[in-house]
Amino acid sequence: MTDFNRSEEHQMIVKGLRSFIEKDVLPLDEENKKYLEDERARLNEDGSLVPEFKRVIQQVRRSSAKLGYYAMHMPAEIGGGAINRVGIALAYKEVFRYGPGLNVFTLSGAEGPSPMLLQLSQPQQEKFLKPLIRGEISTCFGLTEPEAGSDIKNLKTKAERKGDSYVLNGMKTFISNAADADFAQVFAVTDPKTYKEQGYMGVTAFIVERDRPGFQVGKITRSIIDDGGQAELIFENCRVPAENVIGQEGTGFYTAMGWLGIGRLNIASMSIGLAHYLIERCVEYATQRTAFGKPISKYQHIRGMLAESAAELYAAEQMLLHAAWKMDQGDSIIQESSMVKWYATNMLFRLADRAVQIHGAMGLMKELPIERVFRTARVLRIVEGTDEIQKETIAKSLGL
Amino acid sequence: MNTLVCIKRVPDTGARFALTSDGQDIDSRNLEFTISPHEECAVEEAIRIQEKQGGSTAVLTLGPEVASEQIRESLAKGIDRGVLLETDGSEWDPQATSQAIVNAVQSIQKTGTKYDLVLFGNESADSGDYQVGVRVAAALDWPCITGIKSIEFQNNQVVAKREAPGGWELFRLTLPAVVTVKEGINVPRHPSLRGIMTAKKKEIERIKPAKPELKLLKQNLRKPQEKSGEIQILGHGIEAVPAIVAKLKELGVI
Repeated sequence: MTDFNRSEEHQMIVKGLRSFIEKDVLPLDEENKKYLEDERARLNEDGSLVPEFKRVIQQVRRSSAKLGYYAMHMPAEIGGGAINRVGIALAYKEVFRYGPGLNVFTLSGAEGPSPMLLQLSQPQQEKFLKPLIRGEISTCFGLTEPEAGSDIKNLKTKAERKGDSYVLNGMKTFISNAADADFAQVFAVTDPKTYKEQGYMGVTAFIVERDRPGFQVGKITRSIIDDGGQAELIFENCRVPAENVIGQEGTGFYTAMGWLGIGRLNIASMSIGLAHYLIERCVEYATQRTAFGKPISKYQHIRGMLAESAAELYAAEQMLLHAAWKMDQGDSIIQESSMVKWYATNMLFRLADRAVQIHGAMGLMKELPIERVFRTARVLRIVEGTDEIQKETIAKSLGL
Repeated sequence: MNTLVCIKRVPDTGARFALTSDGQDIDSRNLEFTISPHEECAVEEAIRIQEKQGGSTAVLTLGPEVASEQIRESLAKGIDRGVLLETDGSEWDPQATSQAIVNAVQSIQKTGTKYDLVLFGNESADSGDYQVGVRVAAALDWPCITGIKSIEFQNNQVVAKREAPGGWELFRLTLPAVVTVKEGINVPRHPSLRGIMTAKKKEIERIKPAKPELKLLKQNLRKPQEKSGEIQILGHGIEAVPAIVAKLKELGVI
């Protein structure tokens, strides 16, 4: 039997996050309004983040880490919270319910600790993983290449073993947090023959520190949300010691794939949180804004849009909680995670479009965060596997 | 120093609420509940006292089983143990509430835990009676001071400060004592994730007090008219000055 009651522990986590965000983070939003209303104000000429904004992000991360929320998904023995997937789904939803402000830095994303790093040796965990959990440093996930996005069988970055080291050559692109990461997790082909024959084997994941000779951050890409995050990683004869290998040589993809599944649920939770935010803003606006003598919330067009939105959000939320619950039972959720990611991000995109419509011209203005959520919603249909990749995974699960 | 904090489960103070159709209660459907804000500060103060002075902390509330949620919240912040004076959820007036608390304190004292300090919020956020702390102190025959914004300890005495126009009133109380505190005495901490996880393992003692005959009876509740503010933008920059002066004259300020 399925129990639809939220556990006391989950309710307390949600309340704890609310307390932290409302008292410690939202006041920072007001102080940093210029960066939130205009993303370009956050960026230096080269597209990297200005130091003032970086400091605020670090402040939110570290305060959240101090309370134990930032790395709640990591095991307790390494300093994480050991919270199950349902708890994490509810937590991400709650954080994004506050909209696209500084609250979004409360829980870790691609820049933070991932279970993949548990495969590091003890000394390497001390050096890289624990400071990540404490929010003191950040990382980036270097998999995508110009010719290898979702099609990861086409990697060109190579790592050649030379004595106790590997020599890396190649380039990564669209890597989130690349410009600010203290170290990168980089995937490179170490056994070209096996990689060519089997596709998934023969690739190794490495830790590459920011200051390692032969490694540099390339062009910082300007994007639809201009958050200064995505950049190229360039490796030119970059020598990396063997102790920097994550897991076993040749099995990098298997560790990466496990992480991507979790990422998909996180993206769905964020979408659901943002959808709640949009509905709350729309209800508020529609009740206050009058046209032709009455609040626009009294018009059937608006009521219909909001009613559909609420129903779609409800569906997405149940899908997410079911998938998270299934994962907590130890079941595989390859099919479900793709379904949830596809449905929740598209649901958010439809809601964001309606939210702009309901707000009229105000929905397009930078003064309100509605247009920013609209742009974010478009991004979420691409990252962690496009709509098409999700549908491909679902189709495969149907035996097609 | 053993401190007991008495808290009350109240509807979220920022929430919009409605009354039940018979006007006897607040419609609690879709309503979040929280610890009354002054009492949240009392919880924080008790934890800080323990951090500085050692000893133990406990939190007590009178209410239905769901009020254990507010006890757990306090345990998550660092309080050692909880006491729930469990009711059927019906209204208890300040006299009945304070009598139940006094009975509980006396029965706990008999088991060996002697409280040095009992903290209350100055008044609860829902009914705002300002009575329970004072009544408990009177029944226990302990000294009591209300509306406190600073607590220190000197030579087995509580040194408490209350804000007064232009300065502070200073009080010295011998222990054991009852102190009711006000928001602003401290900034309450957030529960940490570790605190939430350990709160599960902490003990909540449940006592079912007999409900005395109420002497203060509620007739019904009425929701006051909501106050609505209006923002009028008089202009921007220096050009707004004549409009501001005109408005100040209209309001009789100048």
